[in-house]
Amino acid sequence: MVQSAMSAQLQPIIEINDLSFAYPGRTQQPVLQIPQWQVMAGQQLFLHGPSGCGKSTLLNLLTGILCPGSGRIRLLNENFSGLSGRQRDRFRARHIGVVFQQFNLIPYLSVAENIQLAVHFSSIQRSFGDSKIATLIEQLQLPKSLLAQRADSLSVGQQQRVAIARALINEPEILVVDEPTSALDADACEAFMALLLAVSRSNNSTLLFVSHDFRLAQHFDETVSLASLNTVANNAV
Amino acid sequence: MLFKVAVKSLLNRRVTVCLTMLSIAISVFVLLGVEHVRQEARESFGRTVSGVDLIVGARTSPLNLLLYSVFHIGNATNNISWQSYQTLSENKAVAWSVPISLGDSHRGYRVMGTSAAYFEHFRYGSQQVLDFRAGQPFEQVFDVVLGAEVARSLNYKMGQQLVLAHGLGKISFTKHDDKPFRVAGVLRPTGTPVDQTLHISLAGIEAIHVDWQNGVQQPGMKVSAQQALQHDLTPKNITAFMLGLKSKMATFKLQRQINDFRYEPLIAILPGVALAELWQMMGSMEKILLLVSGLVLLASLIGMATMLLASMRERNREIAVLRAVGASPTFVFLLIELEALLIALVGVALAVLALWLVILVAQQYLSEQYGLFISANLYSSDTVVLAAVILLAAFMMALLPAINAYRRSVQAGINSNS
Repeated sequence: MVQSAMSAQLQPIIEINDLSFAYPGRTQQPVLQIPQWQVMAGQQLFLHGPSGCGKSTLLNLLTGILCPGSGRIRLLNENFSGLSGRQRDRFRARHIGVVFQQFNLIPYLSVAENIQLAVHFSSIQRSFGDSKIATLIEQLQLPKSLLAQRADSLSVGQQQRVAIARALINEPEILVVDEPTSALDADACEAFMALLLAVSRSNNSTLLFVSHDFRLAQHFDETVSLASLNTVANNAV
Repeated sequence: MLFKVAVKSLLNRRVTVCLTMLSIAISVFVLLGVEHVRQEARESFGRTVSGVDLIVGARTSPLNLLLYSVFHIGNATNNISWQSYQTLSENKAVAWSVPISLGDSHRGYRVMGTSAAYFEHFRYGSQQVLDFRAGQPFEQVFDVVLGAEVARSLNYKMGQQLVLAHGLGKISFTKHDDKPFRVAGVLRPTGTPVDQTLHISLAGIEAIHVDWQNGVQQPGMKVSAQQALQHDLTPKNITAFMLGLKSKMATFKLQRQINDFRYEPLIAILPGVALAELWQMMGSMEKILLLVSGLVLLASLIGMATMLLASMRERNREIAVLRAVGASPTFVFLLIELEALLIALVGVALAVLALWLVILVAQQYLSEQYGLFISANLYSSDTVVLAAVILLAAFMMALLPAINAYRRSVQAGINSNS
């Protein structure tokens, strides 16, 4: 469907309705119950959530690893939660970039191979491949010589930046980032945040940044707390 | 991509992977080795003699007769008198007969006394005749015809002189050195014990034992080679003889006649039947051997599955990353299966290589000591089938860790405690 740039701006890129999720075996205690939530395209959003309040579960639902018990998740105007497992995997490969808190890379593959892994699963014909990788690496202020090195030979800060490159290589519309700076020191953290925001902006990705650390919220225009979305009574697990 | 990841993943754990591969390689080596040698031995024994209807010797076990007369392994318990030989070979059912006399050796190789008819009637393999590379069958008393291997390893040429030894040791102290023999012919290789035999005439056997009595050379009674030629060199006894019959139908009747021969205790065997009995005897032992090697293989495959399963716990993050970039749980399943198959494949390849090398090295020894000709060519439909079965077994064994990985990957994502 072709939409004008204007209306595309106003479309919610993430839309949640009547979402409910409980882990199998504990259906009496749902972890998440979100009646309504929208994230608009192009937003850079800080989602505040301490560990154990369903933050990880929400992210797994948004990336399609988990399926809601009831309710609906729409991503990019598609009924994401209604797709089959295989379809969700493919959607994730093409439209969602994920950065974990740590261990984002396959340790025994090289940096380049780690990024190529993401390209492989999106299965879109890429003619530019290597040049795009080089550009991203440069944007993230990493030396080109890193590409041939084994991923586990990099410092944590470098690994996290490579993780961003890997998450963005397929130009995903959505970037989900989970506490990526918890293993970084204060300086590295600042530099990382600046890079993340700049690169995701230049890629036109909607950024969903999740963290328990409120101090990082200063980098963002919008802040939401998970507690305000989730109607399940708070239990610190 | 799947392949690349699998290979790099294995390389990352190369020590444990190598040990697992080695374990599989050893068990496959045993399994393939037993199978191959078993088949080759049967074939090798089977093609050693063909076209001979009956072999006759002094009464002993059929197997013993077969072994010493054809394979030159072991010894006769007794000799046969020349008269008995003559009587029986003149039987009207007999088309041809070839007498054999054993007991001497030359530098570890057996010497066989026989008649010129041997070269005419003896067949091996698929009715192949004995071919001469050089020279011809013996004509003079002191002529010797060499088997291909004897000529090659001892570097003998036509016309060369050599001395025979009494008894079968490699280093003999009782030599017939006053009566040297001359190489009159060299045979082409046959792939049978013929290659390791020196052939002389029966007259030659008599000539070198002319001054011997009871197995010892009589001092003071020495007879020179020239003098020996003056003696009557008709043999008094021989070790065994081979018979070709005019009609195969007469075989069993003649066999019974020989077994009931009243002048001497004799036994007649059909080579094919005796061989079949040998295989039957070996059969149950072979089955046990195969069973044991199969169990060993099972054990090493279980070891492989254990190794993969144990590695799953530390690969949680790896699986999560794969899922995050869009890999399906099926991809993760296939990754583990591929790792297992690669391990098994390399293990099998190593085993085949090792077996090939070992056979190359041992071929000589086996053919000399046991008349066994094992080819190093392992390629056969059976070997390929066996390899395929092993890979299938590896696949099945690896289902355990692979399904484990699949289950983990379904839930692998952002962890609340990572």
